[in-house]
Amino acid sequence: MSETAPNRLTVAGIPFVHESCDGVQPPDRITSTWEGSRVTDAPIHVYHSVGDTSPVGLRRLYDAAIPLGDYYLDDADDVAIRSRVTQMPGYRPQLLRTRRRGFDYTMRYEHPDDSLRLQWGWHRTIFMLALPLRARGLTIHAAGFLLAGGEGVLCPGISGAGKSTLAALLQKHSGARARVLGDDRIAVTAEPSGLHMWGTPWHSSAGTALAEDGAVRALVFVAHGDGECLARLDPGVALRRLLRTVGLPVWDRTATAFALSLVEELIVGIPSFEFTYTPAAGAALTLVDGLRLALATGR
Amino acid sequence: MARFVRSPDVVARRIAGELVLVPIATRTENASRRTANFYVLNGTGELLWATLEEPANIDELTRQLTQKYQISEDVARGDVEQFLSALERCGAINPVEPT
Repeated sequence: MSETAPNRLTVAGIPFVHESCDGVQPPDRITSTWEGSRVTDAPIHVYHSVGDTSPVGLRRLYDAAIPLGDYYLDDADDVAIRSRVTQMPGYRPQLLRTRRRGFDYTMRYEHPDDSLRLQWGWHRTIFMLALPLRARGLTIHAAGFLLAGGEGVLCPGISGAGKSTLAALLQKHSGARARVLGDDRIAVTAEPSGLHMWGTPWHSSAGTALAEDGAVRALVFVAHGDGECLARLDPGVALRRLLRTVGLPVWDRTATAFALSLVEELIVGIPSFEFTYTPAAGAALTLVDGLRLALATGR
Repeated sequence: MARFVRSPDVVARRIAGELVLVPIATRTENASRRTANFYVLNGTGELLWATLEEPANIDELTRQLTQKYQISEDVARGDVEQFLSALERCGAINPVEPT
């Protein structure tokens, strides 16, 4: 597909196209601030309709409560998700079904007025499902930024690891030396030239969601500690930490194999570092300058 | 004594020298078998996983560990039981029906 101009319903090159049925109003943007990335890929179509959202004919996939809802498999072994957001006033369940893996999905609501509720989460969930299922990439629980030369730095971490704190420090103190793409979800795609990373709309407390992208040049795992120290990280340790930040599509063998191949490319092909720091102004520059030196010298 | 063997519903990949297992979630009738996890095997786990290419019971797996590592039979048996329990729960191994 040839590249086209940015579109505010596009994430990491993939546009969402919403189709409405039953008088449902489809969403016209992902978040109020997301301007959208350039378009490089075939769209994700989402068909919105009204109907029964009970999981009839579906088989439960997970025991554990996971963000947004419960996962199921249908008769074709495609995933379905029924929302469970009980703390929301006037909440009614919503049902996501797969129509064509990686490309076409349906959203079903019990009432037409529900179509604009939870859209932040549904866009994110559908995007995270579609990316590996079309063998395009993975969404990593990570912060990310670009150095002044355009080198991408991926900072994977589970909740509470310090991603937002680091992103806020970089935003405030690194000046033109770094551009923060996001503080919570970064898309990594496999390109002919290597791995690429993209900002996404789905930010955390730092509030950063920049629709830019660049080649992945470093993995940085952040840790709280005294002082500031940037050190190379053993690949085996980096692998274990990275896997905790990747939502594997474990109901699909092909997509899981693809996801692991991408994880291998990240761990084997990209240098991993650990950055231990205390949240102070100097930490941002220490990290940026340390990375520039490390990438220039290969140490 | 129960014997176990690797399930075909596992994606395994060696990455940076480490063996990663991802059990694939299937539409099983076994309601307790649900998974959303990965395993990076340590040396002990790799030895047990390699042995489970063919059906093996707890005694045989325990013997593998005591022969390879300087550990007591009690410790080895505990490790084996823990390993089998975790991998059976997520569907990475299956019990073998006696013939």
